[in-house]
Amino acid sequence: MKKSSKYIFYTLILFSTFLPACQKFLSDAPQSSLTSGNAYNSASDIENALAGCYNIFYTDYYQWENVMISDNRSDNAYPGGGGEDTFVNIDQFNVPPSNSHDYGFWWGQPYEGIARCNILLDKIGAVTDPKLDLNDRRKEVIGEASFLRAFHYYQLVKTFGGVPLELQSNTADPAVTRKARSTETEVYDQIVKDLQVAVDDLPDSFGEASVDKVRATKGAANALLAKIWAQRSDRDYAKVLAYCNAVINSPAGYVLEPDYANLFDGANYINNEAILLIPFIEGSPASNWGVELYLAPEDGWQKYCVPSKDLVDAYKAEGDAIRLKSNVIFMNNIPWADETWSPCGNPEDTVPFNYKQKHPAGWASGDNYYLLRMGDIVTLKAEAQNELGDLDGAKTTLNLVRKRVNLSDVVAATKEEMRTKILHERRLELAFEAQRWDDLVRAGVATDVMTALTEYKYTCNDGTPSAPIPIIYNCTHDKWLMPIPQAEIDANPNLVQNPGYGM
Amino acid sequence: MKKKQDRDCSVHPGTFRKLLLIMKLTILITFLTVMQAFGSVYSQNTRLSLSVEDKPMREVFKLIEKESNFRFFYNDEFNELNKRINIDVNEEKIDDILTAILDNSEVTYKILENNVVVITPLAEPLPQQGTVKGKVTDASTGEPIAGVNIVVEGTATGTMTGADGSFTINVPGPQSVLVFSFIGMTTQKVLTGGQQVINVSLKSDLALLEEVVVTGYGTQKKKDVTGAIAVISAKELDARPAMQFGNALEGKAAGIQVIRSSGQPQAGFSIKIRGTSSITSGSDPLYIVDGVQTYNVSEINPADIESFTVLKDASSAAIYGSSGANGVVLITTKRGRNQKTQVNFSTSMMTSQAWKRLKVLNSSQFFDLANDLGLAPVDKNYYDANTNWQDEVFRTALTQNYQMSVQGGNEKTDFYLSGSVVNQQGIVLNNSVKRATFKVNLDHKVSDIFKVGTSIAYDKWSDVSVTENDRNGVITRLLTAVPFIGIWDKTYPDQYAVNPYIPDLENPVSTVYQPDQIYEHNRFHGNAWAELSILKNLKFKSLLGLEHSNGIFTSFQNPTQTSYGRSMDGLAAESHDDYNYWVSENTLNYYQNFGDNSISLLGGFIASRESDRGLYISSHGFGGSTAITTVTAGTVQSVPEVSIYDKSHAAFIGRLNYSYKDKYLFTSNFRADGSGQFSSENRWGYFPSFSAGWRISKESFFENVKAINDLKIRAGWGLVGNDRANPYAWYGLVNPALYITGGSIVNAYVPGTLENSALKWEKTGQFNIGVDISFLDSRITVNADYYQKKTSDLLLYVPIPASVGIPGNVALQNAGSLENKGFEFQISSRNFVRGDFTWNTDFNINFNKNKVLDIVGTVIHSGAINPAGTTYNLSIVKEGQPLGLFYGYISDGVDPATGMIKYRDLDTSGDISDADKTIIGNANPDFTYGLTNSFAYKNFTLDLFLQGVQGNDIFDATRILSESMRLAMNQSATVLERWKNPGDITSMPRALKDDVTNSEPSTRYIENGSYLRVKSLTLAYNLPKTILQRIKIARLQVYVTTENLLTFTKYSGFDPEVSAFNASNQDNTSKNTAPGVDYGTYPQSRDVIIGLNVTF
Repeated sequence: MKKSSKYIFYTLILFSTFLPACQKFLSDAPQSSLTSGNAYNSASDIENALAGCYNIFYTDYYQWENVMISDNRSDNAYPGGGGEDTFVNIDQFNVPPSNSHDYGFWWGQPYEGIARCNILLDKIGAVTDPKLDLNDRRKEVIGEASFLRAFHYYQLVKTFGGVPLELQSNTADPAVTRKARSTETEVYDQIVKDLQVAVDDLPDSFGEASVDKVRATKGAANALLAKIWAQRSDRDYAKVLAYCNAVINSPAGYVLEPDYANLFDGANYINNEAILLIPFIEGSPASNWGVELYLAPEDGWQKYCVPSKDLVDAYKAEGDAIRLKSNVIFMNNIPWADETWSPCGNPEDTVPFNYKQKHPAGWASGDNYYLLRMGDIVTLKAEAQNELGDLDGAKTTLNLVRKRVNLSDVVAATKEEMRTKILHERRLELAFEAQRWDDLVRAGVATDVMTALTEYKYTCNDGTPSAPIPIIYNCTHDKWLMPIPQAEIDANPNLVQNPGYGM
Repeated sequence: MKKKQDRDCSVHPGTFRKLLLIMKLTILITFLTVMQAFGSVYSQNTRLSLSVEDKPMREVFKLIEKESNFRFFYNDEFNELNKRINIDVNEEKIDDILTAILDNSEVTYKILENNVVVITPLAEPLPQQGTVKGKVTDASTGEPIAGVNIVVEGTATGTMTGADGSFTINVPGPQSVLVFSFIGMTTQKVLTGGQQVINVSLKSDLALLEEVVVTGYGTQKKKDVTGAIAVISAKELDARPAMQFGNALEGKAAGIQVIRSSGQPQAGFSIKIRGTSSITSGSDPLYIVDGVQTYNVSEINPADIESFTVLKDASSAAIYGSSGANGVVLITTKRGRNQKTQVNFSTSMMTSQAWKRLKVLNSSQFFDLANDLGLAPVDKNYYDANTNWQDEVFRTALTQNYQMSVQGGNEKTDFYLSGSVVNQQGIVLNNSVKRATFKVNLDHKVSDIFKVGTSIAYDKWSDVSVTENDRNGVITRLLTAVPFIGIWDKTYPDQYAVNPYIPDLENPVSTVYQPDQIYEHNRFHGNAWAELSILKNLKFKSLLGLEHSNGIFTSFQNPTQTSYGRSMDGLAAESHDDYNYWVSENTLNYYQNFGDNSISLLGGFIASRESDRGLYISSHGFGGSTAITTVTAGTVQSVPEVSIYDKSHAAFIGRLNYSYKDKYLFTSNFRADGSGQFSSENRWGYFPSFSAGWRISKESFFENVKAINDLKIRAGWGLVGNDRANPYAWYGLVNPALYITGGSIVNAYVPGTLENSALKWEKTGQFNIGVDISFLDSRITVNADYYQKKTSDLLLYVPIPASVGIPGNVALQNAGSLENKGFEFQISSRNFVRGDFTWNTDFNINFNKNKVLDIVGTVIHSGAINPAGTTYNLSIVKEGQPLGLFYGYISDGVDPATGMIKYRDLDTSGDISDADKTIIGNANPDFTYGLTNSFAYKNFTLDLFLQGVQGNDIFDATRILSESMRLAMNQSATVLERWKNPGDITSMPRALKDDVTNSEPSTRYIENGSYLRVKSLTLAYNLPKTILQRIKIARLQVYVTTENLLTFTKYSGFDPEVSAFNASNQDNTSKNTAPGVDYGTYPQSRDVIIGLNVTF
């Protein structure tokens, strides 16, 4: 027994030495990820976190879903894609609250972008690295993040109306996260607040065009301010005009590029017209897969966002060959039957494609997307001038855009007529740039335009197209907004559904 | 033959004995030589003369004493000294004289330095060889038992009985003890006592009451067990030749549900013990192989398994604390015994086929449908095929299986050595698995107090998989690929033919081969241990266990053959995974009997760590070339993804077993478990358990109850934990990403998860009450258990509003609770035990009810499928309801006026919207059951295993694709009944292009999933001894087995064993909450196996 107690004693000693070692042994810490505890310490951490805020532009929403809920939803395009129901539903105003794109992409991804900005804005205060304050970099970072947060909230508010204002993104506590919807005005006010920070803190230029065009600048903040003051219900065209002029007069030197085609040829993205764009490099991990969804029929599967007859006719009626050629490509020998352009799939049928980006490059395109460019701001300025009663000024401004595509000066006798002309001009100028739906809503004509639209699809009977089958655009004022996703309402019972979506 | 075999088998041990003898003699001779050298100083050369006639030896010694100064010492009781001798010597040396006297006697002599002569017996009396013959029979039936292991105690000599129960063995002498042992029988020892013939009848230990079962960190007599455990022994495993270990467990024990997620041979099994006790955390049991955990159970060679112990309730699993919440499966592999070396060889061949085909439209029927859909016509002269894709893709698959093992040992060292090769084809083209295993188990007794041992397994696995459970999977494409195309394109013969309407819709043969998906895995799994008996009743054991595995998955999409491959210009991907696990277990075991009290104590410290490193790389753009198919050759490289994780655990364990007079039994476990998964504030979980048993049959008042042989009531409660969340779950993870600035790619950080330092153990408290009865001479045993388990502090991915902006829109929290209640019943009966014929039946049935008590007021949608652009969640989790509910519309059939499905307007809003969706089905069975009947007649045995589930629904989401009639895809032949004209009364709606209305998830796709299956039927024949003698082997068995011979079900799909979301690539939430979905699930096959087992 004496011997055994000695053993037991030694064993206990052994075990007790384990105890303190135990805590250390059990401290598993991530190695292939950073943590919220260690990712935000230095100036370069903050730069990386800021790049992470921009990285949201590489998600589905910004690579193509925004085009689908704007151009496909409006009169610019058919869904294509072989009748995938989500896109048919967008096209025909039948999106149910359970739609997963509504939840994951249109609602979820802008909020994910907002969260990245929230976290950065939250963490930056505690960073003491002196490098962060060299040349007031800290202020610029705050400006960039504020701009991006505003940009994402703008996407949300125009898609859904008033949304919950999340400015923290740091807890899962239901008491905090289950926020009620703010009003549209409250959301826009927050956007204005963030953009004011951006205007105040951001430079006109970071000193290099290839940086200026892909980062938030004072010009970008002014451009977005112009857009939101036009888009909000309580719009203020004086402000729109002022912010447009701030962009036009910016020391950054924004001008309309003389050649429209150059904007979209894939080789000239860093130009004087671009205010903000999403950069991609062909064949790199930062390439654009979205283009393959519109183009490259040779890979055999039916493409999305097929230009509508109405759009093609609009270009043709206007004699707008340059912009038609830049935005739409017609092809034969398409390996499928398109229910509007080629119902019987005859090889000689001509089918148009969205040609805004031209180089699919096998899902790895280097084609960039413009988020803000002068074509938009100049036409918006014309709109503001017109709304403020300056018809002549509006015409002069609008003619800048028309002139560069060899179109004659605009003819409009009244403000109302001019309003229609501007709306039309923006359609031709900005097709497939996710602008058209917002324009229709802003002009208050979305329901009228969509219900007046006469589009047909066809089936094929024994080799000949059937009689035209009218496409029913089930658009009502309620459908101007997308439904609050059902999954979001499940997770946040404080949300109230938009009218017209069953609840 | 027997004789030859015995001689063969005693060669090694016999040689060993001889060697020992030689060694002993050498030592003795050396000793004597040295002694003699000393002795010679005095009288070595003294010469004596002596003449005696017929006198006892002792008197001769006395004579010598008188004549010289030598003195003799001996034990007066030596009989040998009375031996009468004659000697006549003249002036001889003492040595020569003694040699002459002692010649042929059993004594020897030593001359010590003072001229003392010591007479001692010969050290080793030469053994007297003898042969014992006999027969071993079953005490209850009188039937001979084949395969009984017989060893001479304390030696390595051993043999086995032949088919007629007879044996022949050489024994050293009359004191030899023969040990007869056979699984399921009480071991018997017989003193040979010089008998030539020994007949033994072994008592069948029907209830296996004395059986020792492996429990956590030790063993226990089954009769003393107070928790709910199930044991599946080698004998039961033998009755069903298994390619994979899951087969062996299937339907064999109550409360254990074996789920086959797919019929792909590599798909494996997942096991649920007593229902699903988690929602978003893992719910597989903990697998412990020879004391070391593993996840790769499908790589275990089933032939190496000696037994399974399944710890079902918390009172038995609590010793495993962490992850014990889902039950624990202890797998014990075969070890050597002190026995004659035994060589086993077995081989089998299996053919597998799809047991059911589904009817689809042929070309002309499809063209009719195409017309109804208003599709553009295709050139029927060009598209002239009428392909039945099921004929092209399903095949008669062939599987070969070879096993070899050698098992043996002696009193100090035991070994088991095995190797196996399995080459299995799936019933779908190209789908296959190859597995090779190697195993060594070795035990050595260094001394009476010190033992060491090791178990080592090495497996090599490679498989080719096909895509399933997907709208683009091979099984869905069997039904939806158009029939009018062939395999290859007519115009471009290097391309697979596609559906001309939807040109990216490949045919199923292309799906089988493209992408080419190969997985290779190597695994080392083993342990080494040492056990020291500090005192007679106190043992210290230390075990070090390791698992190391690495897996490589490669896939390559040909740049030419498929449309996806062409659009990507070839696509290669490769992932590597390197997994390491080690565990160190140190335990002290103490037991003591005080009169009627017996007590045993266990205490220990355990530390373990698993770590994993994964790498994923991919590229595309192969320039049309297939010369190099590795990622390196792609021109567009993706960013490599590296993931690293560690999971560390440390635990202190303790156990007390107490019993009084074998009547009152008590067990208590305690485990303090520290997990690196949680922040330092919440790292430790404490898991106690208590259970008690009362063996009523041991009470004096029960003595007169002759009908009942054994009756025990058990009850227990325990708490177990679960920490199986994603690695680093409590941290707020920030992941690397990128963006472009200034024309070049820069680093970016993106937040991935929210930090939650309050995260802690998920806990399951479980109460169990059970009864074990055996009666009618133990011919019938019944075990019944009722349990109630409640899991609280669920590690739940609570849905958080997407407005928080955290990817996935969930945050892991300890929230909510879940309950499983159930009843298990198991009965074993020896129905017929007379003469040449025996018949045994085992039956088990389970009733489990699952209920979500609380998920913080939210609703979880799971089971996402995407048949045509829109994601549908087929399953829903709601408070107050069980897991596994289907969600959708209620279909009221087809409107004869419009041909559209009429959905029920539950909210009476006048139109159909999401608000009309409701619970439309329940995947949970009312009960599941298994029935095994074993018959033996002379040399034949027949095992029939039936298995079934009753009362469950299946969501046949495959039909959302195959009966949608909205896209230009082939459809099931059921659509021939479709609505065509107003007034048609039918259950099949109309064809309507691009309209999803009729194919929304609804009761239209809910089917009765009940089935009864003849899971396995085995007929085996053991060659009789007369033939065996001639061919000189111990045992030879041939058998034929069919798997899934018959299936009785109303389910219309390929197979009722479906679980699309149980596939290994699915997340835990879907696995736990979306059972019973068929979405192009690879069906189970019908197999025929012929096999041969030989023992030398």
